[in-house]
Amino acid sequence: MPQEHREKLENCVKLLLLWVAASDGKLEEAELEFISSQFPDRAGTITNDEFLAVIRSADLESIEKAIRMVAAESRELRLAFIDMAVAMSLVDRDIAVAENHILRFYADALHVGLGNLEKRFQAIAGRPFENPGDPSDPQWWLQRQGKSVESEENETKGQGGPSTGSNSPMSIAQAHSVLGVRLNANHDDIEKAYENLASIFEVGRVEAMGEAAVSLANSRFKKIQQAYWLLKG
Amino acid sequence: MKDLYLQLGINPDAGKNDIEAAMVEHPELADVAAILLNESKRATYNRTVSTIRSIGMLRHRLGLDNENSWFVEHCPDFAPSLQPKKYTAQAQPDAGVATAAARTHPGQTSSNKTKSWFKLLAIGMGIAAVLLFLISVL
Repeated sequence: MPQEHREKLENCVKLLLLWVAASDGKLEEAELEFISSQFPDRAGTITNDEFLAVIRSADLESIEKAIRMVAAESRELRLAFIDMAVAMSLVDRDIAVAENHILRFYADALHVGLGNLEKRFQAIAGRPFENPGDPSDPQWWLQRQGKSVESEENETKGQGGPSTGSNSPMSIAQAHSVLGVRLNANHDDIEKAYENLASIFEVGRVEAMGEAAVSLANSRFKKIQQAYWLLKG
Repeated sequence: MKDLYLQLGINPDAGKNDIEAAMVEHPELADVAAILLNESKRATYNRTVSTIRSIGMLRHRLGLDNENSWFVEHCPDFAPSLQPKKYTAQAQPDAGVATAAARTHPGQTSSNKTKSWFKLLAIGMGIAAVLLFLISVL
């Protein structure tokens, strides 16, 4: 891949991944922290602040150019990109309505298809990719209230989803969630899930997409390894 | 996902009074409008809508807003090909690059949109008249 093309592709991937992170219109501290740690600025390339400015002003032209660029890549790379976008959407606890829509849009625009997105999401998150919620429906708000009470209860029991704080020690329940296995999963299930996820987040698979994808894959892989060791040990 | 502002016929920067007036005008949408009267719900709704609106525009630009698409089926209010929007500059398919300004102050262009809305209505009535004429002739 010529150097110039490679740099362009790297920036496009970075922008598209950042759009997922910033899509709920606000970057939570954990996300900001994640982004600045995962995407260190390099001399001569565009800075994170510039990317965030683009996203804040919802510059459709940049996003369109970026998606067209990635769409022209090999199917292998496009699938690996979808995996990274899914991983990005899982950085904060819940996948937000907007993130869900963006993933669907990426899958369509990259000619990957909804069916494949659902498969990739299931493989990475260990749960089905659901229809996005509908904040224009009063019913959604009622259900959400019910859910948030539930998840608060779970949290106090230490059974929340994967937490953003990378320094806090992982609970057994979080480890199961990171590996996408049920709490009653047996040794074989855990082994299988680990091998599958390790192959998804293998650096060689995402290298061509540049630093942003590599560091995202690395951080996800570390978490997967941590979860595996915890459950295996 | 619906565009509540579009359904209620108000601008996204509408105040509490405008929303309440719309509730009186559209009693069938009262429970939906109540979402906008709650500040934190409205903020969440607005954040989500701004992304979905961008996705609608992007899908349109990339030719991904055909009638069979999942998005168009579930979010018809945000498919520029289907829905001429009343309050945004990006509503028309040929509006070109959406600017940040148009996005944050969509209310400014509402009068233009009302005009084009009437234009559409006039064209529709014209077509209907021609059809009626043809039917009566045949």
